[in-house]
Amino acid sequence: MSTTNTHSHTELKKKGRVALAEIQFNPQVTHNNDDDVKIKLRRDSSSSSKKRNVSSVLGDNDNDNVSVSKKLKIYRDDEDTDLADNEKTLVEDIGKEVVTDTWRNLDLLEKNDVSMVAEYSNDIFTYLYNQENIYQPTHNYLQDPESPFYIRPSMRAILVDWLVEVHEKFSLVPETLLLGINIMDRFLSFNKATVSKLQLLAVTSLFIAAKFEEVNLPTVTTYSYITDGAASIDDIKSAELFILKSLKFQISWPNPLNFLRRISKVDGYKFETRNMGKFLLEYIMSCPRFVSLKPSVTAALAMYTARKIKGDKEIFWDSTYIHYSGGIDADHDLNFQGYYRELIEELANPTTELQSLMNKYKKPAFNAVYYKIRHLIKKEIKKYQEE
Amino acid sequence: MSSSSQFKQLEKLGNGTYATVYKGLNKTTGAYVALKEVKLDSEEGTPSTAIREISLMKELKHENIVRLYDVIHTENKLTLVFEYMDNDLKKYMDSRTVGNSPRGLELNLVKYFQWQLLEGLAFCHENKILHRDLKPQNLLINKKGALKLGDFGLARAFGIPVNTFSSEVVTLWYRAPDVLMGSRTYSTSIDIWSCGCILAEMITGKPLFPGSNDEEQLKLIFETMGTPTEATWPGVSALPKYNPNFPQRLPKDLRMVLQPYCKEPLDDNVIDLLHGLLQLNPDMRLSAKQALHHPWFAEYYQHYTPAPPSS
Ligand SMILES: Nc1ncnc2c1ncn2[C@@H]1O[C@H](COP(=O)(O)OP(=O)(O)OP(=O)(O)O)[C@@H](O)[C@H]1O
Ligand SMILES: [Mg+2]
Repeated sequence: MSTTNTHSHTELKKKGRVALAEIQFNPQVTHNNDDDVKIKLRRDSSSSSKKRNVSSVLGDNDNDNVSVSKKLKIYRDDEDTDLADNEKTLVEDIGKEVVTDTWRNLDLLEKNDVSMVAEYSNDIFTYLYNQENIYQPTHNYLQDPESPFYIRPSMRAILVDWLVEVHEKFSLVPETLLLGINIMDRFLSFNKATVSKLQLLAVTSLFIAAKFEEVNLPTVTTYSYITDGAASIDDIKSAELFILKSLKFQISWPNPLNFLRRISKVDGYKFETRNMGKFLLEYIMSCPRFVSLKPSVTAALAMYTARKIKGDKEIFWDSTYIHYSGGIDADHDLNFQGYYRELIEELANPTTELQSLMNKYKKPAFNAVYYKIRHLIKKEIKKYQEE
Repeated sequence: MSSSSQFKQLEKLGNGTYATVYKGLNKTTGAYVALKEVKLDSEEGTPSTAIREISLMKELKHENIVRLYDVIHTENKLTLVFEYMDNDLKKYMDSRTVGNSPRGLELNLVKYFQWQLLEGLAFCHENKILHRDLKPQNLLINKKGALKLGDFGLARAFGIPVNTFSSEVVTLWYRAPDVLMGSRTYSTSIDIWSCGCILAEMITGKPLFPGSNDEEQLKLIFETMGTPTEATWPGVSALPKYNPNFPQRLPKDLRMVLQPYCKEPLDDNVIDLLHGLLQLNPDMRLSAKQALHHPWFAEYYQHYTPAPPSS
């Protein structure tokens, strides 16, 4: 797959990037006197952001298993380690599953894996399902042109897609991107930001998210640099305080990746499904129409869609899935089915341009999962249309 | 947010690495508060320690965790308004030292403090938060004998599975051996080791492992707890800073180590609890929840209603 696509891949990438820098907003927002804004992104490869990449690659990262212990590690984020071992142990352990009235209790399988914090995991998820209500944008500020906080959906898409690119350049952990988007959305759902300040808002949201999530932090200079002069160091520092105060310092958002990994438990953490799920999760977070969905719903939607288009044969979204998704009855919940349909239609015929996100998931580092999804979506849509 | 004019600043209570803490008086209510001032003149903007401390503590409402009431922003500083506590555990223990000889606390009080420490910590862990800097200076107490966790400047939220973190956490004397050997995949067990060190320190009045650098710290730990091997701790030799030439020591009898500094006789239960908290292998350490069910705390069980199992 990769050899045949190399050419069009780089081509697309080039086009995407040029487009990103050249795009001019012409928003129909009435209250703005500042109608033009350019998203600027440094591409100079000798930039300080590159240096920082090196240290962070050596630093924290999901796959970086520094302490290798002999204990059973069920959860994996890399494809090839201990596969046989894990599957063997899993099979041996299946006998220990507790079948409750309706759903299979899979937590006991993880009792010996410290990284799963099995003892606290139920308390923690109960807590997270409660917390997620506090941390939502007040409403979908992209849907009501009459709202004082309205901005055009395409404008938010450009901001988010730019964050995807910056996030990737800085080699930050996946949690940081999603938190950054959440911080930006929450702020925008009850604050009026002038168009000229949107890029500052976006970059500062990521700056704050990284301070919450990351071990090694890019410097404020790096953030300023990546905006190519659009946001100065002082701008970022004062925007930081402004955003923090506006959000009452509530940054501890229940990250949907926690929910996604929990759902992934049900099929024994199948790598491919989860990897597709992660792409879909970032895609959902980037799509304007899903802005006010709760993290547990976005995670369930990502995993449900991944399984559905893969055509996983087992019983589809049974009581065990319902349990580990926090009670979402995906097959029967009409709202959820609506989201699902919207998502696959959007994937098949995008109304939102998300060039950086697509480019990122075309890369081998992300298993080129984009191509796979696009292929599967076409099949799924056909099925839908025939029904 | 309240305004700064609402509080009268009184004497200085403590000087931390990133903040200064003052006693304050709420002029409207007449109640004392603690005002933790964080300077905002850093080159990198708002310190990440402050962002984490504020955002995490806003969520943690528990009687054994010091309450954050409010955050005030003025010109060049953030002031965190906390519930006022009479003392911290370190200063309290120091005040009991007679001449050169440290004196531990009465065992009854030790038990009550340790219970509260574990209650507060279990709450943090249930809410996916690691404290990562438990030590007597960061435990606040009042005249009624209440003990509360403070200083969440190094705390952070963890995911499931737990991500990899920095190994530069926890004040040296209270730092777990796995972290000292460079492990970055630690989880709740990192706080449990500190709880063990604190328990021993309350009993004797002096720190259990007062090392002056990483190497000496490990040496002190192994001299008392024994040197770990692949047999006692599978995986230890794969840790980044594991050294096959660590001097081989056998574990000492903890009672013999502690009893000379304690006037009351130490019973089997407290020694057993210490062993559970101070397991070298993090996987073997008790959790805060388990420790609360330890027989040493039997007299408190009646007050303790465990949460119904969540389905
Ligand atoms: N709520 C409070 N009531 C009374 N005293 C307090 C309170 N909070 C803090 N203190 C005092 O101030 C000292 C420093 O506070 P704190 O640990 O929160 O600051 P810090 O800058 O994070 O400290 P460090 O970096 O030294 O750990 C404490 O050890 C304690 O003596
Ligand atoms: Mg302190």
